[in-house]
Amino acid sequence: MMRRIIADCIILLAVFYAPWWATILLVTCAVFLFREYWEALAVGLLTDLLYAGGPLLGGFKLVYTVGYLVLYFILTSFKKRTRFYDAK
Amino acid sequence: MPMRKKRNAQKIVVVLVVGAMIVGFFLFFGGYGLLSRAVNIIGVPVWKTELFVQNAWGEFGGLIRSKKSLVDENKKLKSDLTTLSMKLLDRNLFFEENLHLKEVLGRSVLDRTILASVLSGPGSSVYDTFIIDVGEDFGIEKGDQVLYAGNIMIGTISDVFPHSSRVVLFSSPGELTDVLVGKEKIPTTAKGRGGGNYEIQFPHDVVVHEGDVVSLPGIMPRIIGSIEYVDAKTSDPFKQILFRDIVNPHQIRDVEVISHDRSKK
Repeated sequence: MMRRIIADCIILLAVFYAPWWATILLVTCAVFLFREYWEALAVGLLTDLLYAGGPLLGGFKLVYTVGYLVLYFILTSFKKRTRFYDAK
Repeated sequence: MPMRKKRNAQKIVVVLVVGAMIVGFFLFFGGYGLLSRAVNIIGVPVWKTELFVQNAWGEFGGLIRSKKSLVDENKKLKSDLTTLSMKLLDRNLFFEENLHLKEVLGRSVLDRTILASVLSGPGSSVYDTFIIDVGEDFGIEKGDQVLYAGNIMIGTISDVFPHSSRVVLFSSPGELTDVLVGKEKIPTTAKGRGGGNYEIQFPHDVVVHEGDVVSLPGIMPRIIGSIEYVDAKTSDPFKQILFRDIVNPHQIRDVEVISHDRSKK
């Protein structure tokens, strides 16, 4: 549990201070490492609320939220098919 | 159906329902704007902490650097400054003359600008937006234009919060901007490609060169960028022109917001 809270704090700081690719990388790692990492959605929403603007994808302002949701489902289904995560 | 599968299906239904409720709240009840405002109010002190740490680290870095390297750097900077000052002399003369002529013809073109620090640069998200430290507290309004170094236009204000504002760059992906290209000032529309890059399509027979300046239309010419590459295939009726911001948006630390006189509206 402690590891998860530390990971949450690091990702939260990354949203504010790190380049976008580093945050995505951290979230991907966290979804892999932790079980049911729904925090990814909250991180996506926070990123959208802080930075969304301009005509990217027709002005859609939930790019990160939807992106992390898709990432979550893809990685979770991938994890289920992997022996390594079976015990978790 | 096994118990585990049933539980998983229930979880997915719950997630979908909660997701639909959140989307509904965002789309139909103005929830997005409210939350965005709240999050940005919280974000300002967090970003300011980063600025403070950067400044403190810069001062500490200066202390631990060797004297010789500082003296060498100082000499080089002084020499660069002298060269640039000489180059700027005639530019300033022409600029003042230009302003004077416009005033004689009844057009005052000096804008009131508000200096702002960049709290978060375009590298923080794929949206390619800036967050700056002036907002409603300085009378900033949506649509205000944002300048760098007095004459380089970089974007417009898209959202205003109590103590911060969001700037959409002209080079943000998909952003369309009316521009004038080259000495002939050919009017066209530039499309942002992100990361300070733009593209323009021109008919094949229009003559433009690499290095030509791209500016915004208006009585006061504001530069956006300069042409980097002209892709003219003989088989194609159009040629693609790629140009970049004069300044790398990732290196910008301070900007100016043009604050128009609202009383004239």
